Amino acid sequence: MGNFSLKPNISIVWRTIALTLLASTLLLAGCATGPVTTQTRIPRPAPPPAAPQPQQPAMPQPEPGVETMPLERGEPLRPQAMPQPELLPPGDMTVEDVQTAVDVAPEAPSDNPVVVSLLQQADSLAASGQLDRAAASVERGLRIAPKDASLWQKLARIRLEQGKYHQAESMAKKSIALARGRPGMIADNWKLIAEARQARGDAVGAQRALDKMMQYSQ
Amino acid sequence: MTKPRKKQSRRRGGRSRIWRALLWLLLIAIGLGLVVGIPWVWKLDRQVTSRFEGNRWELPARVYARPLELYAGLKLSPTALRRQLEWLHYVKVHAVRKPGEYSVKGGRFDIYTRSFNFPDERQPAQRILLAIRDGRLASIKDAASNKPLGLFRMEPVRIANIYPRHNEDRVLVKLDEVPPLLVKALLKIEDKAFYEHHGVRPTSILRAMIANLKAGRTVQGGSTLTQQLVKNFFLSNEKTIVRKLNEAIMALLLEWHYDKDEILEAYLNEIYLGQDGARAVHGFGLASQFYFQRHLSELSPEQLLLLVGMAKGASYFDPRRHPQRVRARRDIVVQVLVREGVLGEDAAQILLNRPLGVTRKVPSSVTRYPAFLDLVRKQLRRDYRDEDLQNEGLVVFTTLDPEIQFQTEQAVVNQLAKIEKDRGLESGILQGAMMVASVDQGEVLASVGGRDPRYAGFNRTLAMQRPIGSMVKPAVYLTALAHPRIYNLLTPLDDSELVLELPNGDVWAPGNYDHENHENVTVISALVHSYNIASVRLGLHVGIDNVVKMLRALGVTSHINPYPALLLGALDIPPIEALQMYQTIAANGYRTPLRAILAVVDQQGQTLQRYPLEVEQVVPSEPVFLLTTALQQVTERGTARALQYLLPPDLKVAGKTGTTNDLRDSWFAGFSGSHVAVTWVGRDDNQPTGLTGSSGALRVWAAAVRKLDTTPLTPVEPDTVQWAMADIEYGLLTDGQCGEAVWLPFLPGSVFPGQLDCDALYMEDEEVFVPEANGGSRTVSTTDTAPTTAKPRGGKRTWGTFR
Repeated sequence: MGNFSLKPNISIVWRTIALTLLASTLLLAGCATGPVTTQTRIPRPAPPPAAPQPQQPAMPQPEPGVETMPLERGEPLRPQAMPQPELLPPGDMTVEDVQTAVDVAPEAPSDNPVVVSLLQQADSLAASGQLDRAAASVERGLRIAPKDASLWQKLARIRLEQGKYHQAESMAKKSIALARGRPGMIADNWKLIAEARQARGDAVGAQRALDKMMQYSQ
Repeated sequence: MTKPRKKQSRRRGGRSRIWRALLWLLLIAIGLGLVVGIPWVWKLDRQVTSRFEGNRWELPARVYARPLELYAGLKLSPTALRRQLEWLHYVKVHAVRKPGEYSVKGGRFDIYTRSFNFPDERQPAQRILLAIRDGRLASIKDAASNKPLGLFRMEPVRIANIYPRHNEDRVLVKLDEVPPLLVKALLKIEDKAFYEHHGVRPTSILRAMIANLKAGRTVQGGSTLTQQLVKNFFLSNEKTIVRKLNEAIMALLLEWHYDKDEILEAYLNEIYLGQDGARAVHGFGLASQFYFQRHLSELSPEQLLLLVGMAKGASYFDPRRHPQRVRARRDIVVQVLVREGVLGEDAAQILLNRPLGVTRKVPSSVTRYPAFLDLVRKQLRRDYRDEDLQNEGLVVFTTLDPEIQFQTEQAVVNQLAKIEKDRGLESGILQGAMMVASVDQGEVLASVGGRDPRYAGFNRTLAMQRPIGSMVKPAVYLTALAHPRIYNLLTPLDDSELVLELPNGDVWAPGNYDHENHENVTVISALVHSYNIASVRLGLHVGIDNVVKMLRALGVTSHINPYPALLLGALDIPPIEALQMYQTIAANGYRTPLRAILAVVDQQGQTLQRYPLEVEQVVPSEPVFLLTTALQQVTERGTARALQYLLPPDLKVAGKTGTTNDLRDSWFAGFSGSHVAVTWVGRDDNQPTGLTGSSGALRVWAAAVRKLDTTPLTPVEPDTVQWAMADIEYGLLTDGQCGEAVWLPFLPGSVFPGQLDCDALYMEDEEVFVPEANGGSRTVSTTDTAPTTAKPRGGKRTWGTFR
């Protein structure tokens, strides 16, 4: 065999050599902030056609010609600013100074009417202190639209209320991953993560989350 | 305490000594009677009241599937909806009048749903109108108001009952829920003077005795409803005087303690009305379901009267075994009601002309879904004692999706038969198992434990541990890709011959499935084509311990042997653990413990326990995204490329085949955007089947997934990902001018390979000149894009500069 081979015990050596050689003759990948440096005809790392597209709503969209009904005739859907004020735990956060930055640019929580109605149901249940039932409503929504960022965020909010801080953070992160291109929702999620970390006594982590939130709040 | 039988008239004795002696004897008898009788009656009283009070009946736990959620846009075919209605025992009629009925015309359904107590709310009965067009639910409306409904839940299908030890089963009814006709007829037939007597009627007992003496056998019963209830409490067909006496005393006691309506309600729930194997059918509520598959309130008059007629003796009047006899009995009931003025002549005539209407017996005492119920029981046992499950009448809400379960069963049953036929295998020799779950919620939607899905025997999804073969490899590659500065999808790997000396002195030389060595393969091509030796080298590189850690993180809980053979799938796990492993991958590294239960509710509708959704990020999303890209290529050009024609073209999925030594186990695990599923095919005696993961399990998997209402795979792209176009077989970047270009994701810090040199590739006559690494050469047509033939051995690589 004429080509080099990768032996298990020389990985570090190989890596060093490879890095050195590649830096001069081949490509070198950039770090998180830099683009891929290309030597010749490397395509720009812009979103390629073959790359995965942004998340589609999981609910199948009715095809043209299919009769569709709004949720309630005559009742236009009210986009709600997230998170719901009544769901915020009173006073266990120290983010009043950045609060205003978060609440800018309210986005519609979801473009799926079924999701919106279940979110509303969850909100009113949570407002009356029925957190378990509120969570059950959100889970019902997730069965219909599992990739809906607003549902994951709502569940994160409920878990936070329930004192399940790790779950709150996990779910907020899932919501962030699904909320690409929606800075308002991402910022809300980071704020939620900050609250969860603060509640766990992780002040440093909370501050990091607040920094993240600020990145998306501008 | 009452002593009803102990009252005797006391008369002053006569003058004669004989009379005096008789009086003494009588007094002694009464004295003895009191001494023996008071404790005796006391004992009977305790028996009968304790039976009547409090925990009067042991109630089985009822297990429900997930409800069908209806909303405009839902993928739904008329056939699937009718299947659902059939599982719910709805009756198809021309004009819908009451709950439990539906009519259908074309794609338009008119359904009168039953009320149902969900854990979160009570849903009243409601008439709804559905329109299905082009395989989707086009509209859903409330029939009364004609207003559209945003979201509507059908009542869930009951999938099982967990029975008490005594094998008694009931569906409790309240007196005010029972159709008045049933109560009226019952009293007319069985006990006309029920509301007047005190538990026993001496006159009717006497009349019955005379009639029986005349006939020389029992032709008439003189028992009141209360006596019959007592008899049912302590079922025994003993016909001794003592028995009769006890019954009479207990009847009087019951009447003394309780009012008439309480006794009547108890009777309605207690009366024995049939036998279903080992299970005794008690009460009109259950009898209605057992014989007609409908709720008691939904029965027609002649059906109610049939049940009334059966109260005389359910084994003798069994409508399934003796329809003629039962019909005659029902007609007698009708005639009695006419005589008593309850029914008019005309109405009676209509009823007399109606058939019995008894349904075919369904195997209701055994679940249709034994493999799934096995999982439910296992998860319930963590929180409940067996006796609570059996006696407390708990209601268990589960995650089973009956439609997906149906499609999965069909796929296992049909595909195994087809594989056997196509390959000339002995019919019935193959076994299979398959599980389906939702990706993001980890809800188990279907579970098939064998090719006879109704057979409650060996459950292969939980109880079988088999090596998973190459299905383990994603854990190896994920461990590597979690170090983006060392490994990316185009990192070269060595697939040349490998001989390992094991700690015990053995020598192990893994081979590739095609018995070839492929030099200079890349991470992605080694996974896509499932090259063994490259995978072993990679696993040794990253460390077997780290691979074990990764498997644990992904959700494998079985014992893991940390030997090199692990890297090729010497890992014996049941399908459910493989499902958990792939769920974590499918959900971008967020592990969600697989759940079969959502909530447990008590008899009163109070939620006892919820099983909430839990997620935990166990692997960073970035390497999982890279892995998913590779696993998707497996289904496009790798070992699972058969999916390209087995699935609809727009349904993108990712997955991995698994094949074990001598083709004993055939596995496939894969996922779409919303569903993850694992399939195993093999033999129970662990003999070779001649099937690879691709020719066996993959076929079953595809047949099931094709039928799912599922979303194509669209992995969530992490922010840090950069894209580059590459030819994964050459392992070089390309601009798409030549080679087979695929967009590949890279993480920050990745070391990129060189650029594919198109000029060197292009030759005249559309032929490609590919120098072999060993100096030989061969030509490959550029129009031939089949992955195996287009794969050069060590093509012209830029990184050849540092060989």
